[in-house]
Amino acid sequence: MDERIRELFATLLQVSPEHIKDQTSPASLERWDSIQHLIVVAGFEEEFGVDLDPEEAVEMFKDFATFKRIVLQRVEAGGGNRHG
Amino acid sequence: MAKAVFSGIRVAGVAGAVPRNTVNNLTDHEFCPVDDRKKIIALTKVATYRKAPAEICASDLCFAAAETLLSGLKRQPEEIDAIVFATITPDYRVPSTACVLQHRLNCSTSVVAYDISMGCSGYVVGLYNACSLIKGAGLKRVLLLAGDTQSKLCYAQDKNVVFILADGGTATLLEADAGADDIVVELMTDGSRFQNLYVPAGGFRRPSTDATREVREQPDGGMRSDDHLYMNGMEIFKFSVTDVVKTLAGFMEAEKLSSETVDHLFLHQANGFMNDKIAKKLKFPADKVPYTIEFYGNTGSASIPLTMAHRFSQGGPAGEGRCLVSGFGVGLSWGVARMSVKGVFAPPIVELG
Repeated sequence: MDERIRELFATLLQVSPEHIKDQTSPASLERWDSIQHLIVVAGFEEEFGVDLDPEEAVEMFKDFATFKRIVLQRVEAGGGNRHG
Repeated sequence: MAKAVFSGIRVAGVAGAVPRNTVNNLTDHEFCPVDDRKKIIALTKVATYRKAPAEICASDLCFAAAETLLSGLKRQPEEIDAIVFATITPDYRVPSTACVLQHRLNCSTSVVAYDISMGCSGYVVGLYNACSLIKGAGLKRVLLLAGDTQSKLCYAQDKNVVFILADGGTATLLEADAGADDIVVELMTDGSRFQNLYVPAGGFRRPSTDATREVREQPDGGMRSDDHLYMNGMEIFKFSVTDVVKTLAGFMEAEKLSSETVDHLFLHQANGFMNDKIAKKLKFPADKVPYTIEFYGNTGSASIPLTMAHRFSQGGPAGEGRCLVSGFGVGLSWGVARMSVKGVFAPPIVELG
């Protein structure tokens, strides 16, 4: 699941997955700005059939480790999976 | 706490005006890759918006809306007791544009006229002022104008703002009417966060110079000058989905309102993703939350009344007309109001230019 999240994150952000590490943050990755972040959040909601709380969307802007942790929590808590 | 209950004031009518010139977010803004443009449109819901040419100011749009409104309501200019103009894009630094509009509208010189320097919360702050003038000063009719030409504040290649911020003007007529439902307004301010949405230079704190007008890469990585509008997108998102939602929820609880007892939730048209989140948090069904952001964008202080005017001039179901409105933005300033628009007059949106 970790790898799937990383690949989807990279795809939505249109960067190579190798550039995405746990410590990757908006400060270290120029492409990860606020508007792209919300585009990525919306993409994850669509892909995993979850509805992320706005507060979670804000927290996910910290670094990729936080982003991944929150997605995993939400998926494990019972989000659907619209695209397999 | 800046919460007030105003009894005996009726919303007689609301009208809107927009520039004829249309920006298409998909085909314009070629500085941005087309894939990004598509994603930004999907996220924000802004497909097109109206952009004023150099010669059209927010006051011109509000003037057009006011003329349409007053003639439709068969009100004479001399029946107006006050003009309150909420805008962050006035005609001049001095004087208040409301004074210029007093003359243009042929209102009596005995009116009180002033500007309120507020953006996206401007309509709610203006409503508070207009109602205060009626209840406190005993005036009979107040013309509340709310409009902005925000596109003129933006650097043309700043994707944080240029896909969203747009131009529009509105006029709302408030009248003393003993039989009217209460209008309740609550306002909030947090100036500690003003730098998340502001124009750094061009005022008296930091006057405009050749240096402030120079477009350069800013500390956040964005390209713009210090005379252009800066928006910290994530902080504004956070503010909107936390502070604004908290105030809205508290107001609804205090006023014993729910999505069942409110006919329309008119939110400032900030951006689609954000507004969807706010509406969902408050458990409002989509059909009670009108949008105009798809074709008018975010028109600042005009966005709430423009959405009302669009909704009701198109014959949208008014129900009992119980409205909850919320504006939020520069300041940071935000506010919530409940008001009835039962029987409100709303002429078709005027196009200018």
